[in-house]
Amino acid sequence: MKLFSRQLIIKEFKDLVRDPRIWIPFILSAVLMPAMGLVVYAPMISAVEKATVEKLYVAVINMDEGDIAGKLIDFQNNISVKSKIVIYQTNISNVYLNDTKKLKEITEYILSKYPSVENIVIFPRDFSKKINNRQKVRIFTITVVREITFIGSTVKTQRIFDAINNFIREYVLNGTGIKPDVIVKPLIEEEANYIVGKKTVLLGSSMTVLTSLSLASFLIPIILMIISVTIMQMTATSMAVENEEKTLETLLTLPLTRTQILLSKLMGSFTVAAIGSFMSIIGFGLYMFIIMQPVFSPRVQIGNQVSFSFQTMISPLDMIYVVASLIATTFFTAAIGIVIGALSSDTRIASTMVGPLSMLVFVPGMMVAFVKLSTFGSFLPLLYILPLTQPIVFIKQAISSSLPPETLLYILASIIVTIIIIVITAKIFSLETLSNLQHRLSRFRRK
Amino acid sequence: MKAVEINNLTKNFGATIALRGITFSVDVGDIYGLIGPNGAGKTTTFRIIAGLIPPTSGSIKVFGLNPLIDTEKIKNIISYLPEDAGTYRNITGYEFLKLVSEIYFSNKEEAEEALEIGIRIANIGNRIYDKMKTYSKGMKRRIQVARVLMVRPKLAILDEPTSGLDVIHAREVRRVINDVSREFGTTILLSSHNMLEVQDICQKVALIHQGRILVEGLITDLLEEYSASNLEELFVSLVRGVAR
Ligand SMILES: Nc1ncnc2c1ncn2[C@@H]1O[C@H](COP(=O)(O)OP(=O)(O)O)[C@@H](O)[C@H]1O
Ligand SMILES: [Mg+2]
Repeated sequence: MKLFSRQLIIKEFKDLVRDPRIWIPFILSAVLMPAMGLVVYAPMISAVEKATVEKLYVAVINMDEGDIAGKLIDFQNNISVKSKIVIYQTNISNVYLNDTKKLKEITEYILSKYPSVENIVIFPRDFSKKINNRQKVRIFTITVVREITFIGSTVKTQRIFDAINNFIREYVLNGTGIKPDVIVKPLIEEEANYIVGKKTVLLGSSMTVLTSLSLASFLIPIILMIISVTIMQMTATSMAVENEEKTLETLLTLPLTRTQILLSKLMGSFTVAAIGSFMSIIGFGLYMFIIMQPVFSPRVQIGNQVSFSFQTMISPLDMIYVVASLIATTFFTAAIGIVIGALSSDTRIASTMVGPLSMLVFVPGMMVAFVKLSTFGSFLPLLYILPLTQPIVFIKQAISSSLPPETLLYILASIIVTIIIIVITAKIFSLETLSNLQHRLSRFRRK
Repeated sequence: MKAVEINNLTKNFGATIALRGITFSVDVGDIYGLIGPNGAGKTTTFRIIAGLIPPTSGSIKVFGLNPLIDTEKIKNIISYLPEDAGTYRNITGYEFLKLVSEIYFSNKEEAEEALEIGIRIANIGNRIYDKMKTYSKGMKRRIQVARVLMVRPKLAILDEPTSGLDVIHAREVRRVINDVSREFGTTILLSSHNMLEVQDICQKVALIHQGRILVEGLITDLLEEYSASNLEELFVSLVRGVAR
């Protein structure tokens, strides 16, 4: 007995391939995916480039009992035009590296004197002694974190380590004729980070600390995408069904305005979507909680073991704001679903359009997650209001500092944006445009 | 005042000319039939009358109102049954009639009264409490007709209310329309591509073909004037005449 019928397979293939709507999502995602890549790549690259070539302001605490640190500083000052590292020497002579409270005080003191400082470098007492004994030498830096990003501060901290490593290599090998790069790494790099907005010191490499912190702002667009795909699918389908079953024409003849019809549709289906999403968020949350245990509570140890946890970084109020903003954003995607459904003559077209569009929904959020907010310049207020960027901006700000008092207004604005979209759709969407669209589609299909 | 008065109505969809100058009028309390084959322009005409789409040219008056200007007011005068109107799968017939009556009447008693009338018109017994996806085609149509007529509109527009129904169910729907029109004095404008079935319900008809009205008037007068035995014969002879 044959397992399948060749005729049916051919029929299936022809039937699908000849429907132009089948190709829309494939073609769109083929174009959208690389576009999305570019959207994330371009600002990332420029941020890295910027961090590599930008002037870097460093405060130095020199406790070295020998003279090598002094020489290093002089050398750096001489080549500062080329290296673009600007050094401020402080008169601080005693730091307990294990005491985060002291580190915080010192950082704040330095920042009050030199507000532009991005890194504080501390040369220990035995700096020269260790080098002269050809031993590995400790160096301690405090990265001043003004905004949580994947890159930026980390690249700059690395520039300092590179400069010091290079100097020591050349110093040690001077006159031996041996090339400096035979020595791999003379430094033991120890780091702390001062989060300006939070006024807290977190021990650990800026890479680890910043990555785990920015993970949250990276996760939010992903959570958003998962939820919005489902919600958009749901609202778009329920609206498209009204078209397909010709119940929409009935609604349009009832003593209701088009705005009333669309907004009621939105409210009703969003309520269902919200209940459904709540369940999936709980599931997703548990999943993240389980797999992220090691990341969210990293025990970054240097001297005194200090650990920070994700929860302590965001205040409960800010968390509520972020969640409220997320809900406002899903409300927005539900509205987009309604708009897609209203313009689709049947559910198949609707689901065809939802796929690529939900990818687009993801793009602005991703961009904001990866890029320093300050690069958006005068567009920044817009990011606080637009539903697709707002929760990501919020979480970034909540982690690096705290949300401003007007946050509630921003959330309100986001909801208003959604309502405006529905009202505009109601204005342009009528039986005339609808039936024209459907007629055109049916003719397109016949070709 | 006439219930409906339309004059030289035209409608183009891009290059397609759907209506090429339609003129007819409907008296208050009449059951008026717009009869013609598929694609003749019946649905387009009804949509324009109900203010759902604008005409390209021509004038429309519904109880003295212009649907283009008084779009919202018109919705309280006209109750409309779209062609092939579907039903919500997981809503019961009762829930559907209830929600529509509440949309039309904010007054609770009025809404309840309309709902009662609706249940009576639908006349599907206890099945009205079942989800509509379990209904037969005939039951769905009865719910739709009940939905349109229960709010006692001044004008009910029914676009092919019997299409797709078998003889028995079609008859039933026609009888309901006739009874309600008598009981409440509702003016009814209906369309059909079945020339024969309208004869036992409409007083007046307009025969429409390719966006034009061929003839219009009392059925008895028309049959006599063209010495035809029924509307179908009349239509065929008129179309041949146009072709020649
Ligand atoms: N939105 C539209 N776009 C283009 N052509 C249309 C549109 N709506 C209707 N038509 C055309 O107008 C003509 C009349 O259609 P219609 O009023 O639906 O006829 P009927 O209801 O009598 O079957 C048909 O040829 C139809 O194809
Ligand atoms: Mg029609």
